Amino acid sequence: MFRSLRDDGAEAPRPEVTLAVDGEPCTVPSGATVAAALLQRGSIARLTARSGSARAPYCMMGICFDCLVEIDGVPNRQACMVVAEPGMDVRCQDGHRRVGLEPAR
Amino acid sequence: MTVERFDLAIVGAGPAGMAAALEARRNRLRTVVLDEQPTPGGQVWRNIESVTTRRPQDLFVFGSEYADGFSFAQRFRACGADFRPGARVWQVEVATPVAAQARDPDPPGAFVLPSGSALDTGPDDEAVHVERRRTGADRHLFYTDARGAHHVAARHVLVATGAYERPVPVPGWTLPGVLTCGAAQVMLKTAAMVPGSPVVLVGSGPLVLLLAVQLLRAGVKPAAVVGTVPSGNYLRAAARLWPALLAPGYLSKGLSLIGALRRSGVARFAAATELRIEGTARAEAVAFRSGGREHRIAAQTVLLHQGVVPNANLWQSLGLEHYWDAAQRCFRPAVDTWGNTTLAGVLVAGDSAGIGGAEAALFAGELSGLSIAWQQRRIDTAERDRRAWLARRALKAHWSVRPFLDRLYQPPSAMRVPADDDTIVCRCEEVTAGEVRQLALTGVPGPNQMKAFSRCGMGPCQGRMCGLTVTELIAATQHRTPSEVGCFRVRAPVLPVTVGEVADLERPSGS
Ligand code: FES
Repeated sequence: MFRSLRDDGAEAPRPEVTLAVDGEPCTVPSGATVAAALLQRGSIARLTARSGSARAPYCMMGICFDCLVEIDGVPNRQACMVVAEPGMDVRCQDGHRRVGLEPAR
Repeated sequence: MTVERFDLAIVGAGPAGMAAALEARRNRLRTVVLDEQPTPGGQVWRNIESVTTRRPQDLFVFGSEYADGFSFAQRFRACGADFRPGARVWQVEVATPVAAQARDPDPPGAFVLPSGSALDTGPDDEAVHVERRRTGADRHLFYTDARGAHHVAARHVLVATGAYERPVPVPGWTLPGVLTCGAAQVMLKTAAMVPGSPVVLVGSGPLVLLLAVQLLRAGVKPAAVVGTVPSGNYLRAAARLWPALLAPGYLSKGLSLIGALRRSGVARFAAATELRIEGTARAEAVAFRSGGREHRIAAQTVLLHQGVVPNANLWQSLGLEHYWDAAQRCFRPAVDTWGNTTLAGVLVAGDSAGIGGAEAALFAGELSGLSIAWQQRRIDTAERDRRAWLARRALKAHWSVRPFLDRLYQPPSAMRVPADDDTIVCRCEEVTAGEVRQLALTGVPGPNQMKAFSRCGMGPCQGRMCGLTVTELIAATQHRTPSEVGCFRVRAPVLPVTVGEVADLERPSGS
């Protein structure tokens, strides 16, 4: 999990944005990506297609695609390439392929 | 559909792309610069404008080389290039078919670089003459931004897509809580956030040292820095030390980082082997052997690094001639001293053509910009060569440290070719080293066939994370060279695009 450089509270607060990650409010500095919000909360981004194991952001520069999440109902968004905006609804993406089940969403 | 036309389209606004844009604009070329990120600077100067203007108190964390990026970004902003941030290029199309190139009477030697830098040959006008004849044709670029898909055309394309961190396929590297050292730097630069303790840095390369010191400045003391440089590397590197001493500043900077780390009292381990990351739902610990003993260090965040490799997908999708660099352990495009490739009108500059570092990329970008201006008859040969002289000299000086660094920080084979069969090689499709090795033993001849049999490289990252590992795994298993084995054939689109986005291209722009 990541935390703010300013946890000592000594600095004046910068502009911030509040978004929802898996239904919980989360506040990050403005300009930070959705992936930063995930890392701050220690959230999972996606479950993999083959084994359903949990993944979280790895590279933070758009290369690995392990940060795929659902943002405002749109799946397969790369969290590290999307700047967080107020009110965004970010959800873990269940990409696990299962036989005989409807897709998760 | 209306297509915007430019003299030059640059992909990537890092050091190489910005320097090329400055040079192109100085020669009045209509230039468009496309970059994935919201602001210029590339990864090395990521978010430099905002850090400088909105949180200058943090600049000391990153050091002066980062701060230097600000004035450069300012000049880039003012140069008159059409900068389009948030633009992800997924296809470049060249009007001249590759087949026509093959018939060209060019001496092939003009392009081929046996090893190391592009600078051992002089200005090779021969190679570029051909380009000069052909620049009438357009190159087409397709990209997506927040508003949808777009199409631009340009007489020249410069690929300046930089580098990314070499994937580190070790047991446990897919666990949440495991990131790259570069990812932690991005968090510092863009979100002013630091990893939760205990944090352990594992790997080799200048970035490990730099990040460790940056974290210390930010008030985070890593639980350990675990080095993976095998002791044999020091000897191999020492043979290349002499030219490295001539390179400006690299060694003294490295030594001062090592000194700062030593004084900090952070636990350090050397020549670690049998590295694995333990944990069930998240990373919990790093285990390894060092100094003849087993170690296990508790960690909430594990930051990996084994150097950087060219971000090659875009130029690979163009089918350029390329070669395996045995010292850098990666594929590089065959380019002449200006960055011209085997495809007319397409140039590659900076780290995407081979790892030379940010400062070298600045001069490489400048040389590409000069060559393009010359090919489009904005400057004559005398002016081009006069202007190129200084850049060439500087570039040569920066490259002279590479043979030393490449050998010192060459990842040990265990980090490139996982010994443990259960280690995941392809993160997207969860293909293990064992599966790839097994298929290689049954005679699967190369990465493309491996793709068909195992699905490795078929996920959304399109082989960026597993490509080099698959090549080296096949090579090691079949006792062949990576050069013989080859790499994934990359096809456009190099990034996932939706059918809807492609369909949108047909609509008149602005609707
Ligand atoms: S974290 Fe790697 S693509 Fe987003």
